[in-house]
Amino acid sequence: MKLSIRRKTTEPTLREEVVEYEVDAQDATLLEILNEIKTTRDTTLTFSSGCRSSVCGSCAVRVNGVEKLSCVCKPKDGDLIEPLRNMEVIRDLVVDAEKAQQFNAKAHAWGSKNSTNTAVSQDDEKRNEVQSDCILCGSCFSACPVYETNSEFLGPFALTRVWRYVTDVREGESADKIAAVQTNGIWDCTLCGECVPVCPQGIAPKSDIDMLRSKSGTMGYMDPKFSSGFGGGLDFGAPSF
Amino acid sequence: MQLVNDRNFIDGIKAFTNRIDFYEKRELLGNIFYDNVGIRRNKAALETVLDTVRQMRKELPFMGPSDKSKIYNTNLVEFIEFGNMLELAEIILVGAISRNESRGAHFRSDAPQRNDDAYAAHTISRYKEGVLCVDFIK
Repeated sequence: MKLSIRRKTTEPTLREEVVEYEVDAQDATLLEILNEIKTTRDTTLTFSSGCRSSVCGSCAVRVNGVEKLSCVCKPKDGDLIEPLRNMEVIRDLVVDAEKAQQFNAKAHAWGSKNSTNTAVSQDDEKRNEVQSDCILCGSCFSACPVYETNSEFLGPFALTRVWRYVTDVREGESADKIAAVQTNGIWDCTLCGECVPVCPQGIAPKSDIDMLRSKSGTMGYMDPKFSSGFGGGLDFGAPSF
Repeated sequence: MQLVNDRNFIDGIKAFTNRIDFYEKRELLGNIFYDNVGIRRNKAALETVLDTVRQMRKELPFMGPSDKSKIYNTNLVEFIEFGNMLELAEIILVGAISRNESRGAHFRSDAPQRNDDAYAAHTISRYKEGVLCVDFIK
């Protein structure tokens, strides 16, 4: 079968091209095929991978425009393999995820001070079990269309992680986290849901962002598009005074 | 010392000729380890594998990365890893050959009994004047 790979190198000069490879792949994963090409045909083909069992999240690429982990994806004839979007391509299928991962810090997506209640029941554990499974593969970040207009958007995985800590009964500084996601955060999301089907861990960042919005509402925050007044962003046809 | 060795190795790679494909050798190493250095092993087979591994280490300067890029060169990384793999492979083999008994996941079909008198001890590997040796330290 034929497989096209979008390649890019900056050495010695910038070169971008889509290269077609004829591969013999009986039930092989994309990562196995990439390894086969690299070890037998073209050692310069560059991609990243780690665990080969969808645990580490380092091999995410786009197959025909949809984010997939190459270690589990089984490609079909004619598929186009591309690097993730919204991140700078270092070489071929390898992207620089540093800026994306810094959004975790900007969104305060970590466990801070312990609350006085540190007893965790099984129900408490279940509450953010799914969100805790994030492997930082960057698929949701790549699928998110908000970056076309706002490059500083905190993004789906960082916001999911914030919700993970906000819902943790041991977390003593939830208010600080909610405050951290008001600007370039939850209200900038369009709730389009592109991040949901691409997550290999079954996480729905869109729902988590929605939950963060509700939580923010109960804490006195509101969508700045509304708070700027109905004469501002939205027009319902009512007369403005 | 290790840092100096590693730096010398990486500097030396530039002069490696790349006449032998190290990916083929890596595949071979995996296969012979799977067949002969699994849970069930015996001295003769281990020694054969050790010969092969030592031969590969000698041939290392005739291998090398064919990708000469300085940007995210995974071919170079995999070659360095292969060099490390061979070093560890030799240590595993010399340890397994020296331990003439069976213990846990080390089952020597030519020495199926456990021998606490000689081998209830940690295997310590080190280079003595360039030669890999193992001692059993109780």
